[in-house]
Amino acid sequence: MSVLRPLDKLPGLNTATVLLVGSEDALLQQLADSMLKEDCASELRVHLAKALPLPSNVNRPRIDLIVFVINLHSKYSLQHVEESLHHVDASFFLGRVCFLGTGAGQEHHCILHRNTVLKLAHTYRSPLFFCDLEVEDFRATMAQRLVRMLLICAGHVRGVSALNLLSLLRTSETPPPEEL
Amino acid sequence: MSKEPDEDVDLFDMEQFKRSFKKILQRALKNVTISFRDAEENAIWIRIAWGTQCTKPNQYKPTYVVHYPQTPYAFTSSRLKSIMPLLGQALTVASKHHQIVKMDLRSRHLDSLKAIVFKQYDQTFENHNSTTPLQERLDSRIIHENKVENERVQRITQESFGDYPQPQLEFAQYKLETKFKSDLNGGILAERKEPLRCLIKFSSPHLLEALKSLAPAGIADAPLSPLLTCIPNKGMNYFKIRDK
Amino acid sequence: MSVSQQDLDPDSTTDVEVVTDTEEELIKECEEIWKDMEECQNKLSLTGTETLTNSNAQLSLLIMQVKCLTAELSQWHKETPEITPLTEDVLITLGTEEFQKLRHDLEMVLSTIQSKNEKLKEDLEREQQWLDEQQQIMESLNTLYSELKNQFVTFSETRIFSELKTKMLNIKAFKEKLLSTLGEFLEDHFPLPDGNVKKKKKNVQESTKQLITLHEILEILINRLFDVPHDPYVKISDSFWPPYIELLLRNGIALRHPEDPTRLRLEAFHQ
Repeated sequence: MSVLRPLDKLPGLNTATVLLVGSEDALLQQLADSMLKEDCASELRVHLAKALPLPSNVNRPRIDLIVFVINLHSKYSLQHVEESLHHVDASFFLGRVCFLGTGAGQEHHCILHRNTVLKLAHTYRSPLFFCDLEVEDFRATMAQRLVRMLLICAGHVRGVSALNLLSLLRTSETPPPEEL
Repeated sequence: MSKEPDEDVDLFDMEQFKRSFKKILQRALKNVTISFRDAEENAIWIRIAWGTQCTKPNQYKPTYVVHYPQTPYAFTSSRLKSIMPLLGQALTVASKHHQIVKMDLRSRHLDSLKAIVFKQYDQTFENHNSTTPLQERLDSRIIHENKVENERVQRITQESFGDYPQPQLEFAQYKLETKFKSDLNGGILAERKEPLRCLIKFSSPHLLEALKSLAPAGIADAPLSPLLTCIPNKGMNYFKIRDK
Repeated sequence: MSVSQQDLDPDSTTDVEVVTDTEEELIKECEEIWKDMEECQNKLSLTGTETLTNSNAQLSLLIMQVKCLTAELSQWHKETPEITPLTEDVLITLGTEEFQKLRHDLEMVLSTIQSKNEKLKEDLEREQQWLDEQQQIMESLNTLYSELKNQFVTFSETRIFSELKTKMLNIKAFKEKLLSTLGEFLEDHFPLPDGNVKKKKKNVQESTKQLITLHEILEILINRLFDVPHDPYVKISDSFWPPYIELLLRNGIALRHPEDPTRLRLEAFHQ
């Protein structure tokens, strides 16, 4: 099926799987490496994809968290992400999706405005993080946060569900009026 | 510059070429300094310092010309509009051709220009395969979902650019004189009858390698626009695009 | 004894049973939970999928969030927390885990406090050193102060007057001493010529006048310099012995008048 659904399979024992979607493979690879460096009690798996829908003939585990990576330096990456969003089931957006904007640190290379990404995240009621994935320290911190989010979405943390987390994280405020 | 020979040229006589070239230039302009150097086997290097009727030749701003006698090509280092016709004429007559045409190909690297013009760029010097993705250390835990797509992109890139190292160019310039096309209905620009003039310049220390790596890096769709991929084939990097 | 041994045996067997019981119980619980999960999964797979577009996303997501949150809320209300059966080995395992955690935390605290302590010790040493230095400075300043204080004498006119008087008397005495010493010195080393002096130049006329001593010449010069400062010149008289005049001139003790070679003055050493 071409639409990605949450909770479509039984979970693997003690495993949590995250899907990183973004058009630039090198960035995704770096983020995946940083995430796998974190220690945590559960086993992590990372899937990298350029766009959805994913090829359907593969047997893959249940996906607990989707991270859409948008590079503010390229309109192309935004386009891919927007197209991919149509292939995600609505129930994924109850806390199992987040957006990550990279490249905001280099103002003169940015083509996309921060507000564009803010609006997108606001429309889909999902949390948005800005992080320069090229800088190792920022990437490591971001990887830590994502791993913790992933554990919660996979249900490995007692008492907190993905939806609870979503309500606790303030989703992006309405973008400032000049954009609307 | 290229020349289109109308007659066959039998044997190339170096001395005669030099004499003839010198004579033509000196007849037209008294104050020129011309020196020749046979640097390589198949090439002749000419250094010209230009002066006017009254002033001496300016030795600090010479023009260099490299001519490959076996081919109808010559490469020049100057773009001074004033001397081009004269230089062109001298080269044409001295090498016994009939006409000279300026090619829209410019670069700072003579070897690259030669490679493009003599169509020698597809010789692989070392057999280096297109970059294989680095082995991930923990590759069992990272899974690439789009392997098929990645392979397709690699294949298309290879088809358009080939396996070999690309010749080195610094710029690609596109002068557009086309009517404005837009998806949105209306708008002021769409109603203009005159074509819109616009100049797009791509610059990079190594332009063709950069273009080659666009699709694999995920910055652009493969296949790339043929306007970009035709640069080595057509031997042009300055384009004028008009509505047909 | 035998009774107690018997007692021991049944105990050991019950222990073993207890262990396997807890394990089995836990496994049973897990299996039940898994079955529930499979049922839920089946129900879930029956629900349809729904994709969103940019325009309808916000509203439908908000509605869905409301529904799911209320469902979760009611679930939390219904659920009573179940504890794992507190059998001995479960307690032991939990206890060891807790203790280990506690130990780890305490070790961290210990190391933090130790490093803090060291830092404080270093700070203390540094401050102590600074204090010592300041005290030393204070002491030296104090001694300086007391010395200065002692030197400070109360202002009193009579005291000053008597001091000046004594000073003057001292100076006068010193002057007398100097003059007498000078006189002695001059007598010893620069005597008046008598008959024993060889005459080097024959055309030198012996003066009939009585020659005066160098001491007297000097006295005349000094007195003239202090009596008439604007014209300290003394005419050379015959009673001055020429060699001594030459001696005074050559050594810069006396100077000739710039226009009149017969006049002399004493060099003003005091100016």
